[in-house]
Amino acid sequence: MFSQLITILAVLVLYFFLYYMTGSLALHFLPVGEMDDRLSRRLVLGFFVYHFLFTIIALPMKLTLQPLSRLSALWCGCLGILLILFLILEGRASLTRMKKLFSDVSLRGRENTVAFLLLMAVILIQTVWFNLNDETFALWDQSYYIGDTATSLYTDTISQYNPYTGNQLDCLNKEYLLETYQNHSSVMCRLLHIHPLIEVRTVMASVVLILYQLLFYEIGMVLFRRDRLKSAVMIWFLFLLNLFSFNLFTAGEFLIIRPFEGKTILAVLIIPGLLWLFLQTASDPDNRTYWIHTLLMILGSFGLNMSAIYMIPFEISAFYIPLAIRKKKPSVFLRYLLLLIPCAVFAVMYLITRHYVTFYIGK
Amino acid sequence: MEIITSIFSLSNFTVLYDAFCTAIGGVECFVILYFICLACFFVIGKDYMNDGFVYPFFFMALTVFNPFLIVPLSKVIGLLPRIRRLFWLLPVNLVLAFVFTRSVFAPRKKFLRLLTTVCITGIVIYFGSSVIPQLHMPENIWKVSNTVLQISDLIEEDASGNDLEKSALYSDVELLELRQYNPSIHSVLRRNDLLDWSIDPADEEAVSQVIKSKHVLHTLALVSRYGIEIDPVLFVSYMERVKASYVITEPSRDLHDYLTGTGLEQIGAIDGYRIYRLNR
Repeated sequence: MFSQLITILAVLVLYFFLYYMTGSLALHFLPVGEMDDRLSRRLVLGFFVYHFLFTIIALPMKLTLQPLSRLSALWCGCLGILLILFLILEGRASLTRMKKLFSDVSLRGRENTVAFLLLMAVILIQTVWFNLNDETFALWDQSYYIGDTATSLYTDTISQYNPYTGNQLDCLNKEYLLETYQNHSSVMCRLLHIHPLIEVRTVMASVVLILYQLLFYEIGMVLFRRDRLKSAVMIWFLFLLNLFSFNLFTAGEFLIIRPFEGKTILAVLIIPGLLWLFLQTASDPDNRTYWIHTLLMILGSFGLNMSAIYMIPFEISAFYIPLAIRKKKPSVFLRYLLLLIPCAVFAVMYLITRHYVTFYIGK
Repeated sequence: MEIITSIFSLSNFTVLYDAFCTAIGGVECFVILYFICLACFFVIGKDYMNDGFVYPFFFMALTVFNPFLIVPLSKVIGLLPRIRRLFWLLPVNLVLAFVFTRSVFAPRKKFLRLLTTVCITGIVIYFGSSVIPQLHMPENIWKVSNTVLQISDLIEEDASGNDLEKSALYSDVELLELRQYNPSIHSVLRRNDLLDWSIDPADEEAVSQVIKSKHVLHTLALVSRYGIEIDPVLFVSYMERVKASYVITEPSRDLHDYLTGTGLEQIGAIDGYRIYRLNR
């Protein structure tokens, strides 16, 4: 048991390092203007960039019925290349950032120290408490998602078997064809030799819980004009509200009861993540930085949950159309249209694969 | 004309309204408070609050939450079964947390701040719906029941000892965790046989129809799901046809005499579940 806990912690640290790595590389290669450069921002952004990169690699392999082992080897190679790039391009800068982060923590005034401790406490309490729960109210959903991860791992295939029965499918499941979130879990289970139930229900659940707190802390920093203490207090109220928002359909329930699911990521990371970036864009619409970050977040969303195909256009339309009208800036509207392009591309891909194209597996 | 009638049908309104009521059940007070906060933001008139929360809400009220637009669209794009997810677009808890924080820091004196915090906490606890009673401590690190682990181990050991296919007939929903833990164990019945298909077991005509149809999986489901004791020879032949080696009966279903009468052998009993092997 103790060795399993150490493994879980190590995998968690690895995942956050991967998100930090991809977030840092994205910020390095993409043109950015002024922005608040915090660790939490890199981690949140990095999560979406990481999953976007995985989707680019995994989707063609899934559609061409490649074995999971081949995808795992390829992904491992990609991560290796990214690591080398990171060490060369961002290694020294990251060390400097880490040193600055620790020195900031130690030099902070009393108020900021309290804010830091509050934030760490709420992250720790929620991550531990909600991991000490095995109720999901979603046995069928869980049976599909985790079943798919486990079955792919066992058969060395990518979603080619029925998760409920274990029998080979006639064709790839059209409903989840373009989703690669479960496939990522299979790949990491293979590479790290951990059980799918542990990777999904503990590691990924913890990732989502932690990223949620960091994301809303960032939202608080925007709303409260970089006031760390108020942002941390807001996280605590959010914790309280989520704890007392139980019904089977609220985002709070999904976060607490089944944080590992793709639809939970949609509810608690993608939707509020786009709000976070919009709040920054709204205060400075000419700054390309947040538009680019929004694009990255959108690109990383479709592989995580297919419902993003319609939820993202609804959400960004509600944000940017009123903003364009209020600011009387056609450039805002044009950039909003650019953000819709990946949504349209994925929507077309989904419609084609749902209604016109079938990927037969063949026995 | 028919299309226009279907778009502006009252049923579209009731569909969205019902979805809304379900989505906010138990947290109605928070939603009402959220709308009050939006109204206050609008009156206060600060740009960042209006841009972030008020104007998007107005836009969504006209479009995404317009029943005459979204319900027909949902039917076309297959969103209807998931229409409640649209309400995730309303940042209810974020707005409330933001307002609560502003309220706590409004007074200068620490005592008043503490009092405000206690009052807000009390309001949330009183008017909210707690998730705490729903939480359940896991029995092991995999977060599946120990029963599932033991059944898996039993089948693994028995199958390797007898060189059998690890394919089991079972229908208890709790056993859906079995394949998550051990995907090498196959389940005979599909999701369709367990969730989408059903009959009235008391309706002899319906039962007879299923058997006459020679639908293998539905016939096996008659035994597993409903405890209907079909012809033993038919049962065994269908078990062999699907290459099933095991039957797992749930605690509420006593099929012991029937199954042993068909030639199956009980190999174990775990927490009320009985596991039988088909000897070939």
